[in-house]
Amino acid sequence: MSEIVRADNLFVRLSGKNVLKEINFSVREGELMGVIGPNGAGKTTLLRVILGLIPISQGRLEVLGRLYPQLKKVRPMIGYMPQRSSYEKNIPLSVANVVSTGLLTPATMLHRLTKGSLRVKEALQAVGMERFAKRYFQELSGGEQQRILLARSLVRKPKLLLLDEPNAGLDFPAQQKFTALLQELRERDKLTIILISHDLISIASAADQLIGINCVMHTHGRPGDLLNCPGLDEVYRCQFDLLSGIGRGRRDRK
Amino acid sequence: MSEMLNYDFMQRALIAAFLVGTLCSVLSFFVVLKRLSFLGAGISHTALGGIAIGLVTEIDPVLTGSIFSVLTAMGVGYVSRAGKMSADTVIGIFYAAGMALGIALISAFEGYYPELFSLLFGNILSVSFRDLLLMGIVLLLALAFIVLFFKELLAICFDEEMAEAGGLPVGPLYMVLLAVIGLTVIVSIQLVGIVLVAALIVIPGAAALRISKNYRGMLALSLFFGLVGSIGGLVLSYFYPVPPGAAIVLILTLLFILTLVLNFFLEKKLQRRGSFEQR
Ligand SMILES: Nc1ncnc2c1ncn2[C@@H]1O[C@H](COP(=O)(O)OP(=O)(O)OP(=O)(O)O)[C@@H](O)[C@H]1O
Ligand SMILES: [Mg+2]
Repeated sequence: MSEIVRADNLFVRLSGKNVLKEINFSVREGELMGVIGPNGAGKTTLLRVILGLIPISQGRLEVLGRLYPQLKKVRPMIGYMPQRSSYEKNIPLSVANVVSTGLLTPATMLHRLTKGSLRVKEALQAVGMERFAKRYFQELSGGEQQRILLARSLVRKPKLLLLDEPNAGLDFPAQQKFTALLQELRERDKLTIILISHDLISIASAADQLIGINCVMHTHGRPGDLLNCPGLDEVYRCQFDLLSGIGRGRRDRK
Repeated sequence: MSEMLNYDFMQRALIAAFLVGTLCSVLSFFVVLKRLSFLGAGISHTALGGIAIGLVTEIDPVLTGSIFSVLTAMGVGYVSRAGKMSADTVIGIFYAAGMALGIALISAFEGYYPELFSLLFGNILSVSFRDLLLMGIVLLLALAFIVLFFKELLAICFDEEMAEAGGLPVGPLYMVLLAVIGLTVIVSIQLVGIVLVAALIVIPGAAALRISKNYRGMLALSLFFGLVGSIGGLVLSYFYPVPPGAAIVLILTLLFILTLVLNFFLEKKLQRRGSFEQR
């Protein structure tokens, strides 16, 4: 099973409107796929479709060896970090409590969480936050909370990690550290990652492949090519002088 | 004080205050964390419509009231989860419609005016054995639900999207929670009345959250505040000419203000310690 996610001619309709059209991609084990596109392009929708939270209206979608209507079954093997701001910031939980909510699945209902604390410790270690286990989640800074939520999405030892703008709101060094952390996890655990980001520069250097969507998929390729190609202008519906410069810069170095 | 316990009606009232106080303060934990305060107020006011239907048709008003408020709670939950209308718009409409229906029905049958007064402001001294039984059953149901699904409910309070992505049945659990809140409101109306019942499911949790950052502490404090409020208010109204409902809510409000003050000093102390460490 080297192909982790595969979408063929995927269409998604929400309230009678085509939110995603003709999406095609394939992510292999251990790869990091970047997803870029303007606000309202359907990036978050794409992740929710992969989780089986939204139905598809056409096409074929395979996730971790399961075909579309059966995606619910693979949810426990997927780690998900939603777009920032959906969570309750005043929750009276410790950091360890928050991470352990990531262990909950239908199978753990009506059961006590056994071996939970070891998993939580490992996940916190993976993001370099083990010293924070006993602190209260509401007392942490936004960037620290992001790391804890990453640990939460890792605690079930997922095969596939879906990250929706995990870098939003982090300062520059924290963003760099976060990206480095993802690379480390990828190498160590062979984790497959789909990452949405508006930070084109860092996503281009981190990703193995990049897709640009704006309802329709406009571009698909290796990051260096993509930032150079005319498709990007179509994704964002504007000219990209700055970025094509950067794309060229990368190629010159090689 | 002990003389108070010689009266049958007072014994029943105290048991009622204990049952309802426990029920409301445990649910208050979720009402505050999931931001459902307005829903509580909305359910209680719509309940007037349901209770009035029961009164004029001579079906059991508790039964019609329960059905009405559970349906309201779940209706609001359904509409707001579907995402087409915001919950507070729906509650705002239900709120007024239920009240209007109740007032219209009760005015049409003038003989029910005394009932209207005790519905609005509570009538804990007339609690019957059957009422106590009902309160006990709702309390057991609520506790069973919360104990069985506590960690899932907590995860839903933290973030619905993440809970759903993990495969948890967020929709059904949320709906049952709303139904339990609906039943709680109905059995609590006798204690403090429609107008004040929302305070009982909001203040204990809100006060507890001010001074506790840990869910166990918050739950324990919420229970403590709820019981001090409900039993304390009842005792107060025995000695002074204040209606029990008003006394209960005033004590709860006082407790809430106390936690605000306490929170202010706790933060200040932490700040001072913080700046000391920096030096
Ligand atoms: N439940 C829904 N019903 C109808 N339309 C929806 C629904 N959810 C999202 N949409 C629409 O689908 C489109 C894509 O939304 P989505 O959240 O996927 O965008 P996004 O690419 O993640 O944007 P952002 O960068 O702002 O996060 C938007 O136009 C949005 O209005
Ligand atoms: Mg989004």
